[in-house]
Amino acid sequence: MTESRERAGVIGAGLVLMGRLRGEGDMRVEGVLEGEIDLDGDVSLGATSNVVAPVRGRSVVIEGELVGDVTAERDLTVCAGGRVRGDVRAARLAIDDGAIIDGMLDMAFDLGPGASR
Amino acid sequence: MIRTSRIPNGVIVEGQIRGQGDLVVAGVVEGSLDVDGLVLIESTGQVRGPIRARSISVSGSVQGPLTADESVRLEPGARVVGDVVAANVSAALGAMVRGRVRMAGAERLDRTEGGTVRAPWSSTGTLVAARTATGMIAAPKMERAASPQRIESPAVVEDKPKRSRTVTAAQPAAAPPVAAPVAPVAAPPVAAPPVAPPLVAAPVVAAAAPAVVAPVRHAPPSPVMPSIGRVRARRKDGADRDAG
Repeated sequence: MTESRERAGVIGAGLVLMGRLRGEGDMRVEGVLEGEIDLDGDVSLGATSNVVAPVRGRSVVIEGELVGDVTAERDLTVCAGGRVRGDVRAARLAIDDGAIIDGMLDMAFDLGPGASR
Repeated sequence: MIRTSRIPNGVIVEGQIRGQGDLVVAGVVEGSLDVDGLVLIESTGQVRGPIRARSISVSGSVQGPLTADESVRLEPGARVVGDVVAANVSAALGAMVRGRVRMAGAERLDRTEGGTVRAPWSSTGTLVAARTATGMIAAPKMERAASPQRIESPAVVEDKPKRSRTVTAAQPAAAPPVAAPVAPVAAPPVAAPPVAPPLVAAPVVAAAAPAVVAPVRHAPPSPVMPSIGRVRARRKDGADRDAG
Protein backbone atom coordinates (compact mmCIF):
# COMPACT_ATOMS: atom_id res chain seq x y z
CA MET A 1 0.00 0.00 0.00
CA THR A 2 2.80 2.34 0.90
CA GLU A 3 4.49 1.57 -2.33
CA SER A 4 1.41 2.30 -4.35
CA ARG A 5 0.94 5.53 -2.43
CA GLU A 6 4.41 6.58 -3.37
CA ARG A 7 3.71 5.94 -6.98
CA ALA A 8 0.39 7.72 -6.86
CA GLY A 9 0.03 10.49 -9.36
CA VAL A 10 -1.60 13.80 -8.63
CA ILE A 11 -3.38 16.38 -10.73
CA GLY A 12 -2.91 19.43 -8.54
CA ALA A 13 -5.54 21.92 -7.54
CA GLY A 14 -4.48 24.50 -10.09
CA LEU A 15 -4.25 22.09 -12.95
CA VAL A 16 -6.66 21.54 -15.77
CA LEU A 17 -6.53 18.30 -17.71
CA MET A 18 -8.53 18.00 -20.87
CA GLY A 19 -8.36 14.50 -22.16
CA ARG A 20 -8.02 10.91 -21.20
CA LEU A 21 -6.33 9.57 -18.15
CA ARG A 22 -5.63 5.88 -18.49
CA GLY A 23 -3.20 3.19 -17.63
CA GLU A 24 -2.02 1.61 -14.41
CA GLY A 25 -1.41 3.28 -11.12
CA ASP A 26 -3.18 5.34 -8.54
CA MET A 27 -4.25 8.87 -9.28
CA ARG A 28 -5.49 11.69 -7.17
CA VAL A 29 -7.23 14.59 -8.87
CA GLU A 30 -7.45 17.91 -7.08
CA GLY A 31 -7.90 20.10 -10.11
CA VAL A 32 -10.14 20.15 -13.12
CA LEU A 33 -10.36 17.18 -15.42
CA GLU A 34 -12.51 16.92 -18.45
CA GLY A 35 -12.48 13.84 -20.60
CA GLU A 36 -12.14 10.35 -19.25
CA ILE A 37 -10.53 8.49 -16.40
CA ASP A 38 -9.86 4.82 -16.99
CA LEU A 39 -7.28 3.43 -14.62
CA ASP A 40 -6.24 0.05 -13.28
CA GLY A 41 -5.67 1.61 -9.92
CA ASP A 42 -7.25 3.64 -7.21
CA VAL A 43 -8.75 6.96 -8.18
CA SER A 44 -9.48 9.67 -5.69
CA LEU A 45 -11.12 12.93 -6.59
CA GLY A 46 -10.23 15.51 -3.98
CA ALA A 47 -12.42 18.14 -2.41
CA THR A 48 -11.33 20.82 -4.85
CA SER A 49 -11.70 18.65 -7.89
CA ASN A 50 -14.17 19.29 -10.64
CA VAL A 51 -14.31 16.34 -12.95
CA VAL A 52 -16.46 16.02 -15.99
CA ALA A 53 -15.73 12.55 -17.21
CA PRO A 54 -16.73 8.95 -17.00
CA VAL A 55 -14.54 7.42 -14.33
CA ARG A 56 -13.40 3.82 -14.07
CA GLY A 57 -11.03 2.58 -11.46
CA ARG A 58 -10.32 -0.13 -8.94
CA SER A 59 -11.38 1.81 -5.90
CA VAL A 60 -12.80 5.28 -6.30
CA VAL A 61 -13.13 7.94 -3.62
CA ILE A 62 -15.07 11.08 -4.42
CA GLU A 63 -14.77 14.20 -2.30
CA GLY A 64 -15.32 16.78 -4.99
CA GLU A 65 -17.72 17.29 -7.82
CA LEU A 66 -18.09 14.72 -10.53
CA VAL A 67 -20.34 14.78 -13.55
CA GLY A 68 -20.20 11.46 -15.29
CA ASP A 69 -20.72 7.79 -14.74
CA VAL A 70 -18.53 6.01 -12.22
CA THR A 71 -17.49 2.40 -12.27
CA ALA A 72 -15.47 0.98 -9.44
CA GLU A 73 -14.25 -2.60 -9.57
CA ARG A 74 -14.06 -2.64 -5.80
CA ASP A 75 -15.14 0.11 -3.45
CA LEU A 76 -16.72 3.37 -4.32
CA THR A 77 -16.89 5.98 -1.57
CA VAL A 78 -18.70 9.26 -1.90
CA CYS A 79 -17.52 11.37 1.02
CA ALA A 80 -19.31 14.23 2.70
CA GLY A 81 -19.24 17.14 0.33
CA GLY A 82 -18.83 14.85 -2.62
CA ARG A 83 -21.29 15.34 -5.42
CA VAL A 84 -21.95 12.91 -8.20
CA ARG A 85 -24.22 13.30 -11.15
CA GLY A 86 -24.23 10.16 -13.13
CA ASP A 87 -24.76 6.46 -12.85
CA VAL A 88 -22.83 4.51 -10.30
CA ARG A 89 -21.55 0.97 -10.64
CA ALA A 90 -19.49 -0.62 -7.93
CA ALA A 91 -18.86 -3.88 -6.14
CA ARG A 92 -19.25 -2.08 -2.83
CA LEU A 93 -20.57 1.37 -2.22
CA ALA A 94 -20.42 3.82 0.64
CA ILE A 95 -22.32 7.08 0.65
CA ASP A 96 -21.35 9.30 3.55
CA ASP A 97 -23.69 11.73 5.22
CA GLY A 98 -23.61 14.96 3.31
CA ALA A 99 -22.79 13.40 0.00
CA ILE A 100 -25.05 14.06 -2.93
CA ILE A 101 -25.72 11.60 -5.68
CA ASP A 102 -28.05 12.05 -8.57
CA GLY A 103 -28.20 9.00 -10.73
CA MET A 104 -28.72 5.29 -10.90
CA LEU A 105 -27.01 2.91 -8.55
CA ASP A 106 -26.25 -0.44 -10.07
CA MET A 107 -24.77 -3.24 -8.05
CA ALA A 108 -24.81 -6.94 -8.71
CA PHE A 109 -26.43 -8.93 -5.92
CA ASP A 110 -29.26 -11.30 -5.11
CA LEU A 111 -32.09 -10.32 -2.87
CA GLY A 112 -32.31 -13.79 -1.39
CA PRO A 113 -34.89 -16.54 -1.55
CA GLY A 114 -38.36 -15.65 -2.68
CA ALA A 115 -37.28 -12.27 -3.81
CA SER A 116 -37.63 -12.80 -7.49
CA ARG A 117 -40.99 -11.97 -8.81
CA MET B 1 -48.18 3.81 25.18
CA ILE B 2 -46.07 1.78 22.82
CA ARG B 3 -45.41 3.70 19.69
CA THR B 4 -42.93 1.28 18.24
CA SER B 5 -44.39 -1.64 16.36
CA ARG B 6 -42.41 -4.73 15.61
CA ILE B 7 -42.77 -7.50 13.07
CA PRO B 8 -40.57 -10.24 14.53
CA ASN B 9 -38.47 -12.71 12.66
CA GLY B 10 -40.62 -15.58 11.39
CA VAL B 11 -43.75 -13.51 10.94
CA ILE B 12 -45.01 -12.81 7.46
CA VAL B 13 -47.33 -9.89 6.81
CA GLU B 14 -49.30 -9.90 3.61
CA GLY B 15 -50.91 -6.55 3.09
CA GLN B 16 -50.22 -2.94 3.77
CA ILE B 17 -49.14 -1.32 7.02
CA ARG B 18 -49.81 2.34 7.62
CA GLY B 19 -50.24 4.70 10.53
CA GLN B 20 -48.30 6.53 13.19
CA GLY B 21 -45.25 5.59 15.17
CA ASP B 22 -42.12 3.69 14.47
CA LEU B 23 -41.87 0.27 12.92
CA VAL B 24 -39.23 -2.39 13.22
CA VAL B 25 -39.32 -5.19 10.69
CA ALA B 26 -37.39 -8.36 11.44
CA GLY B 27 -39.83 -10.60 9.60
CA VAL B 28 -41.31 -10.43 6.13
CA VAL B 29 -43.72 -7.84 4.81
CA GLU B 30 -45.33 -8.39 1.44
CA GLY B 31 -46.98 -5.08 0.90
CA SER B 32 -46.49 -1.42 1.50
CA LEU B 33 -45.30 0.39 4.62
CA ASP B 34 -46.41 3.94 5.27
CA VAL B 35 -45.74 5.40 8.70
CA ASP B 36 -44.90 8.84 10.02
CA GLY B 37 -42.02 7.73 12.21
CA LEU B 38 -38.95 5.64 11.70
CA VAL B 39 -38.85 2.39 9.83
CA LEU B 40 -36.08 -0.01 10.70
CA ILE B 41 -35.57 -3.07 8.54
CA GLU B 42 -33.36 -5.43 10.47
CA SER B 43 -30.93 -7.82 8.87
CA THR B 44 -33.49 -10.63 8.89
CA GLY B 45 -36.22 -8.31 7.65
CA GLN B 46 -37.56 -8.44 4.14
CA VAL B 47 -39.99 -6.02 2.58
CA ARG B 48 -41.47 -6.41 -0.84
CA GLY B 49 -43.33 -3.22 -1.48
CA PRO B 50 -42.90 0.53 -1.25
CA ILE B 51 -41.80 2.10 2.03
CA ARG B 52 -42.70 5.62 3.08
CA ALA B 53 -41.59 7.09 6.40
CA ARG B 54 -39.91 10.01 8.06
CA SER B 55 -36.66 8.12 8.20
CA ILE B 56 -35.72 4.67 7.03
CA SER B 57 -32.85 2.49 8.09
CA VAL B 58 -32.21 -0.73 6.24
CA SER B 59 -30.05 -3.68 7.22
CA GLY B 60 -32.19 -6.31 5.50
CA SER B 61 -33.60 -6.49 2.04
CA VAL B 62 -36.16 -4.31 0.35
CA GLN B 63 -37.72 -4.67 -3.04
CA GLY B 64 -39.53 -1.45 -3.73
CA PRO B 65 -38.99 2.27 -3.61
CA LEU B 66 -37.83 3.93 -0.39
CA THR B 67 -39.20 7.40 0.25
CA ALA B 68 -38.28 9.29 3.39
CA ASP B 69 -38.86 12.89 4.40
CA GLU B 70 -35.62 13.05 6.29
CA SER B 71 -33.10 10.32 5.75
CA VAL B 72 -32.48 6.88 4.38
CA ARG B 73 -29.63 4.96 5.89
CA LEU B 74 -28.39 1.76 4.28
CA GLU B 75 -26.37 -0.33 6.69
CA PRO B 76 -23.88 -3.04 5.74
CA GLY B 77 -25.83 -6.02 4.50
CA ALA B 78 -28.69 -3.94 3.18
CA ARG B 79 -30.07 -5.08 -0.15
CA VAL B 80 -32.29 -2.63 -1.92
CA VAL B 81 -33.82 -2.88 -5.35
CA GLY B 82 -35.77 0.26 -5.99
CA ASP B 83 -35.47 3.99 -6.12
CA VAL B 84 -34.34 5.87 -3.05
CA VAL B 85 -35.67 9.35 -2.44
CA ALA B 86 -34.90 11.33 0.70
CA ALA B 87 -33.41 14.57 1.89
CA ASN B 88 -30.39 12.59 3.02
CA VAL B 89 -29.26 9.26 1.70
CA SER B 90 -26.27 7.53 3.12
CA ALA B 91 -24.91 4.06 2.64
CA ALA B 92 -22.26 2.11 4.45
CA LEU B 93 -19.73 0.01 2.63
CA GLY B 94 -21.42 -3.34 2.17
CA ALA B 95 -24.84 -2.01 1.36
CA MET B 96 -26.10 -2.99 -2.05
CA VAL B 97 -28.43 -0.89 -4.12
CA ARG B 98 -29.96 -1.08 -7.54
CA GLY B 99 -32.08 1.93 -8.37
CA ARG B 100 -32.11 5.63 -8.77
CA VAL B 101 -31.14 7.88 -5.90
CA ARG B 102 -32.43 11.35 -5.51
CA MET B 103 -31.56 13.49 -2.54
CA ALA B 104 -31.82 17.08 -1.47
CA GLY B 105 -29.11 19.13 -3.01
CA ALA B 106 -29.46 17.36 -6.31
CA GLU B 107 -31.22 20.49 -7.52
CA ARG B 108 -28.05 22.35 -6.74
CA LEU B 109 -26.35 20.01 -9.12
CA ASP B 110 -28.76 21.21 -11.73
CA ARG B 111 -27.49 24.71 -11.38
CA THR B 112 -23.93 23.89 -10.69
CA GLU B 113 -21.12 24.50 -13.06
CA GLY B 114 -20.54 20.81 -13.29
CA GLY B 115 -20.87 20.18 -16.97
CA THR B 116 -19.17 23.44 -17.69
CA VAL B 117 -15.62 23.84 -16.66
CA ARG B 118 -14.02 27.19 -16.14
CA ALA B 119 -11.28 27.58 -18.65
CA PRO B 120 -8.57 29.71 -17.13
CA TRP B 121 -6.38 29.43 -20.19
CA SER B 122 -8.89 31.03 -22.48
CA SER B 123 -8.35 34.71 -23.07
CA THR B 124 -11.99 35.45 -22.59
CA GLY B 125 -12.24 33.46 -19.39
CA THR B 126 -15.44 31.97 -20.59
CA LEU B 127 -16.88 28.67 -19.57
CA VAL B 128 -16.29 25.85 -21.92
CA ALA B 129 -19.29 23.67 -22.24
CA ALA B 130 -18.53 20.05 -21.65
CA ARG B 131 -20.95 17.45 -22.72
CA THR B 132 -20.57 14.82 -20.15
CA ALA B 133 -22.33 11.67 -21.10
CA THR B 134 -20.27 8.62 -21.68
CA GLY B 135 -19.19 8.10 -25.22
CA MET B 136 -19.15 11.74 -26.07
CA ILE B 137 -15.58 12.23 -25.10
CA ALA B 138 -14.13 12.32 -28.55
CA ALA B 139 -16.51 14.88 -29.87
CA PRO B 140 -16.07 17.56 -27.22
CA LYS B 141 -12.36 17.03 -27.33
CA MET B 142 -12.25 17.92 -30.97
CA GLU B 143 -14.35 20.95 -30.36
CA ARG B 144 -12.20 21.91 -27.47
CA ALA B 145 -9.10 21.81 -29.57
CA ALA B 146 -10.86 24.14 -31.90
CA SER B 147 -12.20 26.49 -29.33
CA PRO B 148 -9.15 28.59 -28.58
CA GLN B 149 -8.64 29.12 -32.26
CA ARG B 150 -12.27 29.82 -32.75
CA ILE B 151 -11.78 32.81 -30.56
CA GLU B 152 -8.89 33.94 -32.64
CA SER B 153 -10.23 33.21 -36.06
CA PRO B 154 -12.56 36.21 -36.34
CA ALA B 155 -9.56 38.27 -35.45
CA VAL B 156 -7.74 37.24 -38.59
CA VAL B 157 -9.50 40.00 -40.39
CA GLU B 158 -6.52 41.69 -41.86
CA ASP B 159 -3.89 40.19 -44.01
CA LYS B 160 -0.45 41.53 -43.93
CA PRO B 161 0.08 43.31 -47.25
CA LYS B 162 3.38 41.60 -47.96
CA ARG B 163 2.04 38.13 -47.59
CA SER B 164 2.68 35.91 -50.56
CA ARG B 165 0.26 33.58 -52.28
CA THR B 166 1.81 30.48 -50.81
CA VAL B 167 1.39 31.75 -47.32
CA THR B 168 -2.24 32.60 -47.80
CA ALA B 169 -2.81 29.17 -49.22
CA ALA B 170 -1.01 27.44 -46.40
CA GLN B 171 -2.96 29.29 -43.81
CA PRO B 172 -6.38 28.11 -44.88
CA ALA B 173 -5.06 24.61 -45.30
CA ALA B 174 -4.50 24.57 -41.59
CA ALA B 175 -7.75 26.30 -40.93
CA PRO B 176 -10.44 23.84 -42.13
CA PRO B 177 -10.33 21.49 -39.14
CA VAL B 178 -10.88 24.55 -37.04
CA ALA B 179 -13.45 26.26 -39.16
CA ALA B 180 -15.39 23.18 -40.12
CA PRO B 181 -16.82 22.02 -36.78
CA VAL B 182 -17.74 25.49 -35.68
CA ALA B 183 -18.85 26.64 -39.09
CA PRO B 184 -22.43 27.52 -38.17
CA VAL B 185 -21.23 29.75 -35.40
CA ALA B 186 -17.97 31.15 -36.54
CA ALA B 187 -18.27 31.29 -40.29
CA PRO B 188 -21.14 33.72 -40.89
CA PRO B 189 -19.70 36.66 -39.00
CA VAL B 190 -16.39 36.07 -40.69
CA ALA B 191 -17.90 35.64 -44.09
CA ALA B 192 -20.16 38.65 -43.90
CA PRO B 193 -17.58 41.34 -44.52
CA PRO B 194 -15.59 40.56 -47.63
CA VAL B 195 -12.52 41.23 -45.62
CA ALA B 196 -11.29 37.77 -45.03
CA PRO B 197 -11.04 35.94 -48.32
CA PRO B 198 -8.46 33.48 -47.03
CA LEU B 199 -10.83 32.15 -44.42
CA VAL B 200 -13.91 32.12 -46.58
CA ALA B 201 -12.30 30.59 -49.56
CA ALA B 202 -10.18 28.26 -47.52
CA PRO B 203 -11.78 24.84 -47.90
CA VAL B 204 -12.83 25.31 -51.49
CA VAL B 205 -9.71 26.83 -52.88
CA ALA B 206 -7.30 24.63 -51.01
CA ALA B 207 -9.07 21.40 -51.83
CA ALA B 208 -10.73 21.88 -55.17
CA ALA B 209 -8.80 24.25 -57.37
CA PRO B 210 -5.20 24.74 -56.47
CA ALA B 211 -4.50 25.06 -60.18
CA VAL B 212 -6.55 28.17 -60.60
CA VAL B 213 -4.03 30.93 -60.28
CA ALA B 214 -5.83 33.84 -58.84
CA PRO B 215 -4.21 37.21 -59.11
CA VAL B 216 -2.45 37.88 -55.86
CA ARG B 217 -4.25 40.51 -53.97
CA HIS B 218 -2.04 41.70 -51.20
CA ALA B 219 -4.58 43.60 -49.18
CA PRO B 220 -8.27 42.85 -49.12
CA PRO B 221 -10.55 45.80 -49.63
CA SER B 222 -11.81 47.52 -46.55
CA PRO B 223 -15.45 47.12 -45.78
CA VAL B 224 -17.80 49.98 -46.44
CA MET B 225 -20.11 50.68 -43.57
CA PRO B 226 -23.11 52.70 -44.69
CA SER B 227 -23.18 55.10 -41.82
CA ILE B 228 -19.48 55.52 -41.31
CA GLY B 229 -17.97 55.08 -44.70
CA ARG B 230 -14.87 53.16 -45.45
CA VAL B 231 -13.23 51.97 -42.28
CA ARG B 232 -10.35 49.83 -41.45
CA ALA B 233 -11.25 46.51 -39.95
CA ARG B 234 -10.09 46.03 -36.41
CA ARG B 235 -8.91 43.01 -34.66
CA LYS B 236 -11.35 41.90 -32.03
CA ASP B 237 -8.68 41.59 -29.41
CA GLY B 238 -7.55 45.13 -30.08
CA ALA B 239 -4.00 44.07 -30.76
CA ASP B 240 -3.70 46.55 -33.62
CA ARG B 241 -5.31 49.41 -31.82
CA ASP B 242 -2.08 51.28 -31.19
CA ALA B 243 -0.83 50.64 -34.68
CA GLY B 244 -3.94 51.85 -36.37
